[in-house]
Amino acid sequence: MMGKLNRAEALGISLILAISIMTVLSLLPEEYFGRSSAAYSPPSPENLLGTDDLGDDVLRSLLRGSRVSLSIGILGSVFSTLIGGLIGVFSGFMGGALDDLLSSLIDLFMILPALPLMIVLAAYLGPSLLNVIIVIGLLWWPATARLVRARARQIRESPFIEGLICLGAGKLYIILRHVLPNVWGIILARFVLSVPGAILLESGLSFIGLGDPRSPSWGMMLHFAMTRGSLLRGAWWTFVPPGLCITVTSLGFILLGMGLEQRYKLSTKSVEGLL
Amino acid sequence: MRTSFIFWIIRKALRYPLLSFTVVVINFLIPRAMPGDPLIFVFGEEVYAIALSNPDLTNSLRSKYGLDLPIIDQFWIYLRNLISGDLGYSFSYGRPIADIIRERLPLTLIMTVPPMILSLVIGTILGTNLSWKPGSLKRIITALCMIVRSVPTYWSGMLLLLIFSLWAKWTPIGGAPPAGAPLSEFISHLALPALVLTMYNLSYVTIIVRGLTVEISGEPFITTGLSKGLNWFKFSSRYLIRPSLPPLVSLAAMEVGFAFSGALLVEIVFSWPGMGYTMWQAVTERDYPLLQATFTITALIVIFANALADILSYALDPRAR
Repeated sequence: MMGKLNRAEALGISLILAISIMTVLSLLPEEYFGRSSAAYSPPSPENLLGTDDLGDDVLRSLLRGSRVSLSIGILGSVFSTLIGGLIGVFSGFMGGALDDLLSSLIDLFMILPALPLMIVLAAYLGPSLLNVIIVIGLLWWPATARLVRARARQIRESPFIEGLICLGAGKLYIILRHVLPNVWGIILARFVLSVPGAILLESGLSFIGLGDPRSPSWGMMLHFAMTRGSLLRGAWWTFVPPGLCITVTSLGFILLGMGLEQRYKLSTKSVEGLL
Repeated sequence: MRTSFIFWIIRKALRYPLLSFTVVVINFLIPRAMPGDPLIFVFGEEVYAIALSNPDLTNSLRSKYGLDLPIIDQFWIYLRNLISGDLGYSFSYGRPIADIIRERLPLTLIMTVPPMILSLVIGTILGTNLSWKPGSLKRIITALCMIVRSVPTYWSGMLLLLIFSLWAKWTPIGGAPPAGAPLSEFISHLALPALVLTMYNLSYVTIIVRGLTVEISGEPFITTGLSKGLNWFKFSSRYLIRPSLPPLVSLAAMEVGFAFSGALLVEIVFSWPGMGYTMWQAVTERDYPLLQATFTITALIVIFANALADILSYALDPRAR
């Protein structure tokens, strides 16, 4: 049904697969991970990626971190795409005063600097995975809403919608049965392109110390490397791998998203919205 | 049509005051929407427990913030304090917050403004050239931009710190030089963070400018420009960059937001005591008033930059006049 993958999609999917394999490997029993519990031991056959300041195996933290980073990235993106998609579809299709109101709202949220506001919200809500997801969802939707709105407006102007209205179809019916299937491609691409944003925001929040300490993500590994002195000791093996993982994951989703845009012949504007 | 027009006016003229007001309201509501005594968020959890044993202090603060009054009166008190420049008191620093911010805001500006200007200039040149000259170089640079966008800024900061400060010992490990230090010292402290921020902003500017130029490259005036047989410099500056100036100005304003957010985390890595570092300390110390004040000021600066850009791009666009 999907046809042949284009190059960006294929490359993106392979990067995402590689990270997913890490998530699966994190379920391996304890004895597969490094034995040494000396602090700051560099990479060796015993501990493939060395140990951190507490003598914890870095590879194990890295694999476990993949679960947190990936799930928050995906769930945060689902949440924000849902909000953005809904606002975009209603604003674009309904038009009139509702559209004016909602698009003003989109404009307002576009300008508001997201990261500082997220930091404030997360600091008040307290560190938990759910709060991080909520904060990302609440503030990462405007770009999606703007693109979906533009597309929904286009559809509204097309003749078949006029025909449906003449046939006496209700607005909600038209939105659900005829508008949504037509904006599906853009929503899917936006969802994929929001994941790297969500992952980078999560890691940023964790880096500043607002992540959930019970389930440390890659960002939190970097936070520990920063605050507990691994960085200044030059223990590169504690902070090079998590950053590399964040980069590879984000890149994977960006490439996949770009590929989807090519497939659905969407403009490159959506890539810009992500950046 | 009428309501549309009214909303259009609101969007254009009232957008920025409205946005600033929204920021203030959000800031006012957050601590009051949280469960528990709002005074917790004045002191932070730890100091709050100690402060409770001193009813004189808590009562005087309660009446200062009007915490026993109706919410709308509290808002007026809050607004009055804010307008008179009273941002509250930081218990973790033991100083008025306005003083702390006055000291630290310039440090953030020193760190963010030069990379912004650099990336705008280089990005415009790269972007226009890329859109016009196809080839493998174009693909490589586009790929590079994607990769830079995927790298967390603070992580690249950590890598540079490792390589240039810890291994090569070329640059200091962090912190800011004391006021009045020679310029060279400032430069050596700022070199690495500025490099990170320039790369980060550059990737964004390049891609957007490329998009802008591609958009106008089908216009008839481009053909006119080409047929004049101008050299590349004259052609690109008059026919590619000049028409893109209005959107470029808006881009520069959007960059202020990105630059501030990006600098926030980079400052932490390099212990550069600007707004981001202050925010980090506020988070660590649970100093809520300080956290909110840094957010308010950062947001207001970003909004102001956007307003300025809107006016400027209007002035630069002959079609709008």
